[in-house]
Order: sequence, then structure tokens, then C-alpha cells
Amino acid sequence: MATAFGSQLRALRGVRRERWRDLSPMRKREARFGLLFITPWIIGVLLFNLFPFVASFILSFTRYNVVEPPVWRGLDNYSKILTDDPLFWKSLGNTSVYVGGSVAIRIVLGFALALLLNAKVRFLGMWRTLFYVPSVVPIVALSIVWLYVLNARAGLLNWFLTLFGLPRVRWFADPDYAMLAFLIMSTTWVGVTMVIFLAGLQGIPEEYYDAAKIDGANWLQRLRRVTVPLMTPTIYLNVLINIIAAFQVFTQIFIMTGGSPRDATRTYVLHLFDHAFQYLPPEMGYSSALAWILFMIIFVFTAVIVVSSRRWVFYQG
Amino acid sequence: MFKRATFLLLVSVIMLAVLPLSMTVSAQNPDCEGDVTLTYWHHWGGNRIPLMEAVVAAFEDAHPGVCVNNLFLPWDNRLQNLLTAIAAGNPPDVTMFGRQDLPFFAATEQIIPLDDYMAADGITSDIFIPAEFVGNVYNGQTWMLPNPSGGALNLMFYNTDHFAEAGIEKFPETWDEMLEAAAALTQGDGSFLDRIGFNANSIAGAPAFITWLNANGQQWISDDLRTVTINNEAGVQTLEFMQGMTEINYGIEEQNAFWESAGEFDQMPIILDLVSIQSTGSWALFQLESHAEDLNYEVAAIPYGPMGSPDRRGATWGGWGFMVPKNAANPDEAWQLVSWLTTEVEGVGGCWFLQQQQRPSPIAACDGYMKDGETHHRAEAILGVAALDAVAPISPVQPEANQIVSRMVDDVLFGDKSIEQALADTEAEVQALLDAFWEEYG
Amino acid sequence: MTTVNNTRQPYILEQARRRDRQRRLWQICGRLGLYGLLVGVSLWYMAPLFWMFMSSFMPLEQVGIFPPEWIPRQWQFHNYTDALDFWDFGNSLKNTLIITIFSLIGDLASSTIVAYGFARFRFPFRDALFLILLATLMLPFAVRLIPVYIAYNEIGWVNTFWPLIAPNYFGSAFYIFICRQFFLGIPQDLLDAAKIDGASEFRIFTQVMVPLAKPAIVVIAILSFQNSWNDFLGPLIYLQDAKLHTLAIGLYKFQSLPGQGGQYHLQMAASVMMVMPVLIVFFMFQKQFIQGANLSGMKG
Repeated sequence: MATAFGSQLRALRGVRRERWRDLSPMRKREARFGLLFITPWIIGVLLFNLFPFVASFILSFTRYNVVEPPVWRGLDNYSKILTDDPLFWKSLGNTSVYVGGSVAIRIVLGFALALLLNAKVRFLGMWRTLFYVPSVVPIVALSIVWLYVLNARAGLLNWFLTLFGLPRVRWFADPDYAMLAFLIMSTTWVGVTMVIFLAGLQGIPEEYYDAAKIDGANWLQRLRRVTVPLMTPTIYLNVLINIIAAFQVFTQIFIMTGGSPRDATRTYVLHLFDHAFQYLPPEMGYSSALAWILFMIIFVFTAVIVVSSRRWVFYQG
Repeated sequence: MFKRATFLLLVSVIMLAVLPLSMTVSAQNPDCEGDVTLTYWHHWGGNRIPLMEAVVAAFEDAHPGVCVNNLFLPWDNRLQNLLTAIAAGNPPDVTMFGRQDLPFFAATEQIIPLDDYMAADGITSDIFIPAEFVGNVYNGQTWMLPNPSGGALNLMFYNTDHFAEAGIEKFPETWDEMLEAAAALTQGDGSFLDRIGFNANSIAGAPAFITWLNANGQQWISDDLRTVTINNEAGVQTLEFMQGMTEINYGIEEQNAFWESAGEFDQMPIILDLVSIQSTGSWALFQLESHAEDLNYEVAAIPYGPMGSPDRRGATWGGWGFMVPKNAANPDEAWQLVSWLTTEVEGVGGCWFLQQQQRPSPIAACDGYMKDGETHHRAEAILGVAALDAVAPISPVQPEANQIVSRMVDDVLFGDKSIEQALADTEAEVQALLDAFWEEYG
Repeated sequence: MTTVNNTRQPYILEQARRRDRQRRLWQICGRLGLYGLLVGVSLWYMAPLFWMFMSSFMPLEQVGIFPPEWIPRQWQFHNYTDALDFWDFGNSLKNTLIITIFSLIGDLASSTIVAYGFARFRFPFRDALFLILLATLMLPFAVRLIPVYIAYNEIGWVNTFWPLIAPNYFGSAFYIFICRQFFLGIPQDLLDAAKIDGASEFRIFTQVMVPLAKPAIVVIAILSFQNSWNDFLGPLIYLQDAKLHTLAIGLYKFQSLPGQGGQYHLQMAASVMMVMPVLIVFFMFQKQFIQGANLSGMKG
């Protein structure tokens, strides 16, 4: 998608602007059909993207408690968020830890698993299925199971640690370990990322490796000099998808800890959700401002990655 | 040439049209015929659903021409559900409502005052137990009627076998005695607990700090709900007590870790033999009676602090009631239902509903512990405790204030702030929140 | 590079043979390590799910012990019926199916139609519009959450299935993208032939393109199914009445129901009931699942 986005952007530059009245009757007819076909999406984009996008921007300058009409408050929400809401910074910090950790896990582990599967192993289908299953299990069910895995007294993970003589950890009771617990949990859902990497690896022509072997490159050198550079478009894509998703982590945290202990797992979207849907009076305006700040953060990240991609992403041919 | 397209279009239109049919959910009694249908929301799940259905059916029989669409909504998100329904102009006619949520709804007049209806029907406030009625009044008007009694009495259930083992003869009266008893009851290897004597952070109803402060003779907020009053000597003593109790349990992290995995409700820690003293509400009686035949336990009042007194112990907090939203479609009939759910003593109404569960009633004329002509054998002990509890006022910004207060307790217990600092910061923070509210709505 | 002295050849052969043996040893070690890793990762991934399944048959006392046990001391099949006493599973299943099926129909119909428009017709601003379509994929849901919620509330759709179904009738960007890529791959000759036969644009769409795009449609159907079945936040904020709850919400509520807090064995039984349908669909359409994941990484 990301690459599609780039190529679409490039394609756009080359296109000569067509004006409706310059079109031949045949082309006009074609254009009419085309527009007719995409009408549902145009309505959808206006209703479900443009309208909320603009509306939440406007709401972010108001106080709005749902039962009374919104009251204009200028920049009050934004200044309160930035200067007088310690939980904003706390949740932003927590979210950054989660984004950094989980994206690294997805990329490194997903890539490693794909390499494993690409090493001409027997029963490829079986391994791939086993690695993929946790990714299709609904997150609500996974959360409930992992609540037990991470139980401080009788959990599976603590049992696993004691097998290696390690001390038990009080996962969700210990602010230093609670976020780590979510990162450990996230190691089991790299299925989608792994499959994308695997497809990318399978697309690398064998000749490149043969050439490298003739040059006497060992496994590690082949990985560094051939595989990774050729995989950069896929890495780029996975980084982008996972960063956008990780910034909005919500469900498992909402179900498993609700932000405790000591707000150590309070993430950005949970903070936003609380202000809109849990506190009394509801603060829809404040939440909208939080949402817009999140949007800008994600936008900046995405932009930096897209712009920098020219330096580190290599396309074959 | 458009045939296929029209066909496709038709199919999708039909599907969209059929959808609402398959989605209509009617909880209405099909036998009921009437001109008025009330929409009624409540949060009594599980084994209480058939009890509530019986009450509603009896109401329909007693009020010909009125039918009730009886909907069970889950407890969390209830405020959001209600506010959005009111905003959309489609609220229930009657809804179950927490007393702790009243100030905001009353201050912004999202619900209607019931005083005129009460006067017309000859219902006066003195039929209610005074402590149960206070929480339904805001700014001199009555906005809801209570039922059942504030479940959150601070009842201390304790395991008498554990007490005998540890050589403790009677339940502690003061905080010092409580600390001593807890230390004797707690078991573990010094870093991991096997059994907890008492967890002062787990208190039924109000946030633990507010309850303990109350037991130390200090209300957390002024009666007019304008001034926070926690940064004082009583507050310091309260946090010191909670700190002492946590130290007995090997620190906050182990205490929390142990407690999280120690079960809840039906499988209460006290039933699982993981705790010796557990604070919980009157609802726990049913669980204890039906799930713990082997448990030898007694009920006592919460101990009082150095600045407190033996006659003023826990904090009665919140409790349920029923109210009518401002834009309800049928307010007159709605009032009849509210009245049936709260003040009906004879028929299958509010009183019967409580007696079936053996819960205390806010109405003096109704003995909730009386079921099938027999009084519950624990009734006396519980009523004795209830008489010692004082009502703790609830602010209009309570959900967020609760979070701030519990964060303060954590700050102290995790050792991140001194007690004095934590109290000062928190008082200022809650005060600012409160001031902002009154500036907007006052 | 260097000329090899004849007399040293046997030595070199010997050396080469040794190197060969060494390499084979390394290879065997590598293979062993490889399979060790595969098994290790599989255990790590499957252990929680296996435990969920096993503990759903255990008596409660066995669930809480440490170190954990993996095989039920006695197989309590009544855990499932006990769980059903607290959870109207049938009703939640019905609600989930209604939402899933109607969303699926909407996704399939709208995405193929829109994708066809983008793939096969030229019109002004087509590429710019497609760029917007891709951009919407990157818009965080948090920005849309509140206004959309308020709007649904205004038109009285809160506490109905509409907010969860209706948006799918206006094309989802990602499904349109998948489908368009597929349509672009269908040779133009086929369409020209159909046109010469006098088929209308709609006829070409329904009788030529859609049948040809079946693989893409199956993938979209699976993604859409997964999406609706697993959705949590949507039902959480839109469905208030307990009779409208979906499986995801039912399971979440089950865990927080009074009386269920400590009942781990029943929680696990309820989880198994919710997970099973997804796993069955997964094993039936495994290929398409993997393909769907792949497509999300497709280079355009």
C-alpha cells in the first residue's frame, strides 16, 4: 500500500490535467460510467472520513458534554493538554514505549520467522499455520487467556521463568513490568507481518544468491548484502502499517489492565477514550483535541518514514 | 441493459430493509395491551432478571393500560448510554441510576424533580431511612427514589477460625488494633504472600482513602460540595495507616499481585481462604451463604482512627435508585413505575424484590431480611454495623476525582511522594477540577 | 589464482574433503538448530491456546494451582453448559452473524463495484481520487470516533446494528485496493471481446469481471468476516442493550460479570466457544487467509 501510495503520487505528476469539456462524447460516456461506479465510495469518503475529520477538528476547540450544545473555547483544550494534563505526557510516553517495542518485535521477529520458513524446511505449511493461528484468534479471547498466562501467582509465564531458575514477576502489579508484559504478549501475533515478509523473500530471484555464493559470501554476508537490501520495500511497508496500528493500541489494554498499575499501561487512546466515554461530564471536545494531536503525531511519523524511504528503500529494476 | 444492475440494487435495498426487522428486539410482555409503553432500563443481571420480570409484570397488572419494555443494560458505560440517549431525544422513561452519579445530572437538569409527584401521591421523605434518602436530594429537590439500600455499607467479614489460630479474641476497634491483628494473620515467606490478613486498599463502595478518612472523623469534601478537605492531620494519619497495612503485606506490589489473583465475588478471597478479614458490601451475604457452608465467619464494623470515634465508622456511599430523564415520553406513568419500584411494600414491588435477595431496604416499613416470614440470622449484626456508618458526600466530578484520589494513594504506597506532598497536590488537583465544574455549571 | 604445485595435490584433496565433512556437520547442526527453533516458536505460540482449551475442561481447583497442570484431572464437560447459564451464547451468536453477514454483503458489493470503476474507466481526477482512497487508510480511527458517534446518536442509530453495518456499504479502502489490483490484471482483450458482443458495462461487470475476480472476492470476504467477528470497540460503544451484544462483547462482559470474576474454567470455556468458529473458518480457508495477509503487503 505504502509503495502503491508512492507510485500513485509519482504517476499523478506525469498526468496531463483533463478537462471535462475537452473530452470526446465517447470519453464522456466512459467517464460517466466510471463516476457512477465509484459513487458509493465518494459518498462514503465524505460521510465517514471527511465529515468526521473536519468535525473533530472543530469540536477540538469546544467544550461538549453531549447533552448541551458545544461551547466555543478557542485553544483551551490544547493548552490544557500540553500544560496541565500530566496523564497526557504519561500516556504518550507509554504509547511510545509500546510503539517502539512492538514495532521492533514485529519487524525483527516477523523477519526472523519468515527467514526460518524460507530456509527450505519440511512441512512449511504446518509451521506457517502454527505461527499464524494466534493472529486469527479474536483479541478479546486472547486477552482473557493472557490474563491467566500473566497471572502473578499461578500464571504460565511465571512457571516458564521458574523452569530457568528465574524469579517470579508480578506482571500487572508492577509498574516496571506491566508494559513489558504487553510487549511479550505481542510477540505471538506477528503472523501477518511474517507472511508478508515470507512472500517478499520468496520473490527474491535465486540468481542473486547464486552470484553471492560464487563470490564466497557466507550466510550472514548474504543476509546483509542481498536479502536485507532487496527486502527494504517490504520492511518499509511493514514498519508503516505497524506504526500506525501500534499508536492506536486499545483493546487488549482496555480489557486486561484498564491502564493500571499506576497508569503504567495507560495508553494514548485509552486516555482519549476515558475522557469521551468514561468521565462525567463527558469531554468530547477535549477528546477530539487529543485525537487531533495523535493524528498529527502519526502524520509526522508517517511523513518522516515516507520521505526518508528514498534513502534506504531500494527497488529492483 | 440496466436489468442486472437494477436487480443488484434491488437486492441490496431489500436486504437493508429486512435488516431492521431482524434486529428489532422486543422485551415487552406480549400479553400486555395498553396505550402507553414505558421504556425501562436496569442493571440487575444474572439471577435477578427473573425477579425483575416478576416485579414488572405485577406493575402492569396493577396499572391497566401501561406496558413496560424492560431492558437490561450492562453496568459499565451506563452513564454514556444514558447521556447519549437523552441527547438523542430518545431516553428511557425510567432508569435505574447510581446515587453517586446524581450531582452532574441534577446540576445540568437532565432529569426531572419528583417532589410534585411525591406530594400528589402523599409520599413523604420520612418513610425512608434518613441516611438512605440524603443521597437522592440535590439543591433542595428530590431527583430520584432509592432502592435498595446503599449496598456499600462497610461490612468487615472475618474468618473466626483464623482469629482463633492467631489468638485474637475480638475484632479490632481501632486502627492500631487492626494493624496488630493483620500482622498476626498475614502468612507468607517474607516476599510472597500465602494469606493476607487484611487489604486496606480494597474497601466496598467509596474509594478506600475516603472511607478511612471518614472513619478518622473527617469528611473528604464540604457539605456544599465546593471545598475539598483532605490535606489535614486526619488525612496524614489515614495515609500512614494505609501505608502501615501495606507494609504488613510485603509492600504494595505483592499486595496488589496477590489480590488480583485472589478471586472475586462468588469466589471471594475470604471463601478461598486467602484472606482473614475482607471488607465488602451487604450483597456479599448471599454469596457467603450459598458458596461457603464451611466458612466460620462473623460481621463487624470498620475500625476507627485516632481522630475518629466509635460511633462513626465507615462511609455509606452511593446506592441505587430510580429516576425519570427530562425528556421522557411518558413522565406521569414513569413516576408510577418509579413509585412501584421503590415504595411498594404490599405487592410484588420494590420491597418484595429485596426480600427475595435478602438485602436491606431504604424504606423503614420494609424489612429486606424478612423472606417467607423468617428473618435472616445475620440481619441484626448487619443492621448494627449500618447504624455506625455515616454518609459520605459525592461530588459532581466523582469518577475523575476517584481516579485522582487513588493515584494519590499509589504515589504514597509506591514511595514516589511524601504523604504531605501527596495530600497537598491531590487536594489542589481535585479542587481545581471541582472549581472548573462549578464555574461551568454552578 | 596461484598455480598449484602437482606434488601438493593429495594434501589439498584431503583438505577439501575435510572441509566438506566439516561443512556437512555444520549443515546438520544448522538444520537441527533450525528445526529446534521452529518447534520452540510453535510451542511458545500454541501453549496459551492449548492451555485455554485444556483448562476449559478442568475443575476450578485445578486451574489455580502452581506449577500449572496441562491435562484435566477429570474432564468436566459441564463447564460449557455452566458457562451457558451465564451467557446467552445463542443470542450473541445470532447478533454477530447478522452483523457479519450483512457487513460481508456490503463489503463485497461496494468494493467490487468501486474497484471496477477505478480499474476500467478513465475519468478526470481518477488518480487523485485513488490517492485520497489510499490516504484514508492512514487516518487514525481515533480522529473519526467521536464525530461519527455523535452523528449516529443524532439520527438515533446508537443501540442498533446500523453503525456496524452501514459503513460497509460505501466501500472499504483496503478492499477496493485489493480488488482494483486484481481487475487491472485481467486482460483487456476479454473485455473488448465482450464489448464487441454488445454487452453493457454492467453486464461486463457482473458476468465477466466478477466471476474472474473470484479469488480476490474470497479474500475480501474472509478479511471482512474476520473484521466483523473480532470487532470490539464498535460494539462496545454502539450496542447498549444486552440483547444486542455480540460474541466479542459477550465474552468481555462474561469476564466482568458478577459471579464470573474468579471462574477461570468457565471463562476459558466461553473463550473456546468464541474462538472455535474463527478457527474452523481459518482451517477451511487457510490459503485465502495467508493470501489476504499477503495482499496487505502487496506492492502496487
